[in-house]
Amino acid sequence: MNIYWLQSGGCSGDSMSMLNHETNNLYDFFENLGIEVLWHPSLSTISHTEHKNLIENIKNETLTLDILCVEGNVVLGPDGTGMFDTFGGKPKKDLIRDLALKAKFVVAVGTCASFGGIGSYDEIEGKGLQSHHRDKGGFLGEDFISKGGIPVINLPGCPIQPKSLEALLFKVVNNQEIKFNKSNSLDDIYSYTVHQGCTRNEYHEYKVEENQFGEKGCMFFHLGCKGPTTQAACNKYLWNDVNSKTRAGVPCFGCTRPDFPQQSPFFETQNIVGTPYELPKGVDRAHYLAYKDMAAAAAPDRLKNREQKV
Amino acid sequence: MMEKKIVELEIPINRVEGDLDIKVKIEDNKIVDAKSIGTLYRGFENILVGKSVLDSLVLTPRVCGICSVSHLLAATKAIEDAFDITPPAQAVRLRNLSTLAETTQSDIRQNFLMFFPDFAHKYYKDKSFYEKAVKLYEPFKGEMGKETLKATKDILKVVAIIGGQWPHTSHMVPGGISTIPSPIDLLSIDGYIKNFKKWYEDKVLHCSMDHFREIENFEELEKFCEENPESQISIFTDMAKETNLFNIGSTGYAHIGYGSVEDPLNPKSSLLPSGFLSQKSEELDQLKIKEDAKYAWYVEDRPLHPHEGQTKTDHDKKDAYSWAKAPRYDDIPTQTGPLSDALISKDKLISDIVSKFGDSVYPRQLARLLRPLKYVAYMEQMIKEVLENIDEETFIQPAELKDGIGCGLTQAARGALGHWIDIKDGKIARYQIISPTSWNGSPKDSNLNNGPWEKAIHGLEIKDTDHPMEMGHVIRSFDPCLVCTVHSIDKDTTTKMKIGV
Repeated sequence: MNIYWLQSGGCSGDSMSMLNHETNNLYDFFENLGIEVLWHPSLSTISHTEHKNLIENIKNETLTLDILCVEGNVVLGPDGTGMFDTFGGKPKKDLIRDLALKAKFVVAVGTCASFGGIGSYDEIEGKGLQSHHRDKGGFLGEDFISKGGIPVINLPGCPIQPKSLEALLFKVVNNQEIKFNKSNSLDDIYSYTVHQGCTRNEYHEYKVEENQFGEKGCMFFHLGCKGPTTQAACNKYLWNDVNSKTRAGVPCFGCTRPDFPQQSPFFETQNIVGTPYELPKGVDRAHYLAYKDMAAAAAPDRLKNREQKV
Repeated sequence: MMEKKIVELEIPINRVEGDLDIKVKIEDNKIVDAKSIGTLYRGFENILVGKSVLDSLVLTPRVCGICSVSHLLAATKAIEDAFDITPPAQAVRLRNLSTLAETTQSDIRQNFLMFFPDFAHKYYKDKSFYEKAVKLYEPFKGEMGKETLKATKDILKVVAIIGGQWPHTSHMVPGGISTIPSPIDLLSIDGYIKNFKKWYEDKVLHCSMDHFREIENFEELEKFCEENPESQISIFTDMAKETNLFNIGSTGYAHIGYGSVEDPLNPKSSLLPSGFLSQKSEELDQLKIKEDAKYAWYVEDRPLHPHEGQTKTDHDKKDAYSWAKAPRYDDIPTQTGPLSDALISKDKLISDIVSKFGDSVYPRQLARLLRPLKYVAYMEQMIKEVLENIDEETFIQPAELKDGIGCGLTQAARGALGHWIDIKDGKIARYQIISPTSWNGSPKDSNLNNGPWEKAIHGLEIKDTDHPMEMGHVIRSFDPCLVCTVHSIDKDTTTKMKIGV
């Protein structure tokens, strides 16, 4: 199997995150799976003329492209021209479409490629490959199906967790079925909430909530934490194998969500009379209020006094 | 008389962060004109305007996937400067640890994943180093490449323990840090630093750091190379000699550095000094920084300080060729990066090499390869102090953040990084970022001075235009990061813009 890795409107953060691949090192990981990287902009050494030939060979189907990984959003600005992001003097979006039409599998690596992400609300007119925020379609259109017979596979995260791509490539190489969730993300990884496994869970249970930094309690009610409403495996497969933001007192910003970066302040929870506007999925507000009031009343002193370590 | 052979080429440069094209005019194999063109515009500064003040802590790390912690530090310092907030010493030590670990990761990866793999290109198949280079640095296979992945992902655990993850965390906040690291966490940090030091000694230097620090001039370095032929320093020195890297890529330009490793007891100053180094060394005065837009697609002509920066595009502007403006210090074109740091802090070995060969590719890259010698020592010092002061507070709640202006200057992996913020009623009214690559990759200015890397490739001989290896070495020695080229465009003029392709 081979991979062509394309960077568009982004920060290279997903590539950098992949270099932290933990199971082994990224090079051995590719080798073990029998994956050849035809091109990665930060790692390949082929010259600009060899690179041009490679693209031509994929376009005229002399070379079969198995997996196209796109990192960064598709830049359509200004005015739909795509000229804010060019390759060889032409809009990069044209190259993305050309390669997507040839690849067996098209993978959106990170939130920008999946849903638009950073710049998707702004002048660069960033779009996800096949979604724009919660709307299906994005750059390639709702009906796009890659040569392998499936839509774009979304692996959101700002940045991606290395485990996400690892899980997907393992499935592709071993010809296993790829199951999607509602936002076309890989079901195996995006079926946990960030909240699951957070070391602040006991504070959360008893509604011991913080409104300033550097404390031990839960950050859901006041500090903008989106852990309970965000599907990602941050507290299941720890970052860099050691930690997560919520464990380190940094709120979850919901970076795998289609609406990231949310347009309300990151460090404030949007409230209705003291309760988060957005509640965990499927929860009834009246019952939640009653549960939280009782939980707060039952809170033991060791939590109220922040004695419990996180 | 033979006619001159003139070629004009626009060459994309990979193994840099983001997209970069260099447009060159080559006469008889020599570059006679060079323009550096960032081909990706991200509009970052406009994304920030109107947002809540603390949102910069979430958004600006996402300017750059490789130095997100440095952006976070600059953003935090800018807010602290605006409201005169002093973070507690323990928070400063932990901030230093995460920034030093990130930069060390970047330095090692840039060397062994981005710069050295060129030597394993088949273009060099007749060189004496070729076989060894393939074994060590070939992309996706080379031994040092794999070693680099192991060592760098481990040193980044220092950032993750303090900040939750790498990249893209927001653990620094005005008044300190959000984390309460446990004693066990801190001991792990100490362990990861020690592991990295051992790795760097075993796999890079092939001797102890202390032993290597005794080398103070180029003659002593050459002697070391003879005695330790398997050291990466020796291998690099040999390859650099065979590919002429001692004699290409000089600019003769001034140097700027904002200083790294903040003093825990006085975080406004740094343990490694800031400064401006031209004919003589000066104290840094950030008010002398101005951005010149004469050759950039913006309306203004008069150079302006970032606090006054007005940015309206004009893509039809005559002679303009870049989205990047040209930052200048006191109107002087200036470079930044590990070489500048080494010279500003009067590093004996690097200063000696520059006195002999100028600011050519060899010392510019060597300064990056050797920077862990300093940074690991500071990491050791910081974790020691953190452990000695384990009960000290790491966060002090500041007063309300309503109106103010501030600047946050820090030293990122690629050099001087500055954020300038203007806050009105708790919202961001203006945000300006000058990244290290803005300095190094800048276009010409009103005085017709080229930016540093334009200057560095001027006159360079390109033997084979299909494989412009020489140009690749020179440009990559600056460790360019184009994703940080972030200037803003006025929304109204954007929609009226005409793009001539």
